Amino acid sequence: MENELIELIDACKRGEQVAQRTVYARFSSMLFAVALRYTNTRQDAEDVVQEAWIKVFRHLKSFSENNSFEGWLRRIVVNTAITHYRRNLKHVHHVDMDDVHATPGDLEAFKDLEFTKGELEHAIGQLPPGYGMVFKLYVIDGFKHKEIAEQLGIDLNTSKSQLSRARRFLQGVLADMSKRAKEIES
Amino acid sequence: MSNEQQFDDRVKRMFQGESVAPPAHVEERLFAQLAPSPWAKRLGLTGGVLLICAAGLWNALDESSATMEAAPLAPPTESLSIETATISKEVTDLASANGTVEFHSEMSSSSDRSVQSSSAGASSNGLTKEEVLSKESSTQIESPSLQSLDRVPASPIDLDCALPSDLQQAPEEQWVLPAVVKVKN
Repeated sequence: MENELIELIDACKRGEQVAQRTVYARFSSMLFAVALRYTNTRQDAEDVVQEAWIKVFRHLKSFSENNSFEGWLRRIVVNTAITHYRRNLKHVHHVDMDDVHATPGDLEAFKDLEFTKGELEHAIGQLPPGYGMVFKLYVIDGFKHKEIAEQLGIDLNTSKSQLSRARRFLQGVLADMSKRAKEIES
Repeated sequence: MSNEQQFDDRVKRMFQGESVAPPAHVEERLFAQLAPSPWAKRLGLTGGVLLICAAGLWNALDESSATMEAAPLAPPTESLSIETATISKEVTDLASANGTVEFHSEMSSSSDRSVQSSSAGASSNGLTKEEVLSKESSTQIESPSLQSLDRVPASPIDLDCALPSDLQQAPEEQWVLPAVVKVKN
């Protein structure tokens, strides 16, 4: 870790607000993007980042300088988002994957499939909430199945099967999108 | 590399380095929450002062209650010992002065002994036994030894006699006697 960042972190540990504002300015955009990924609305993302930043500054003493500071921050935001998700779980309409119109993806065809980030986000948005969480935690943020199972309060095998089905669903949706786009072009 | 792995890597790359600037009010809200408010400071200070005052007051009350609790215990022992000392001193004085130490209840038997002791003293003065007896019977009540006995504080001696009457129900009181309640299944 660079010396400047270590000094900043030390100053934050001493409760210096100038240093805290500097750290915030440096990492807030990255963390807000993470929060947006795990929440449904901008307002929810704002709540999650605020809660996460409070945790960051209050528990900064527990951060070890041998680890990645950015990774530590991301973890806190993701964990806060999971807490937020679980808190609102009773308001979320549970949809099982079988209820979703899933197009089985042709993995061979998928290799040559072209899609944009916007299309991918749109496809992820169509996943049932639980499946979406598992997919994002595993594929984008690098959580292990054991951690996902613990964080979401689900079985380890459930996490594995939901990831597998989410992948197939996304590939199918993206392939469908690509097909329709080609049809429009031709 | 498997197809799954390829897909995962492709997705991960798309989200790498992603950043979205949060609205400015998030920062303001956050640092307002992090900074200790002046009200909280004032409240803490006032609370601290109040706590110290309360502790002081509690201490003072505790000490005064301790002295109040201790106060009634000491004097009775003292007065009792003084009374006992007074009685024993007077009794000793009287005994040494006349050789007669008797309480009211033992008055009749003591008169004989006092007569005996006085007659012993009188015979040495050259008086006959009858003269001594008649003289003693006329002057015994007025004897200085009996007068001195009357002045002995009687309360500790009468205490035993007074107790039973104290334990009796006064007309204006109504005593409640312990009752036995039997509960049937």
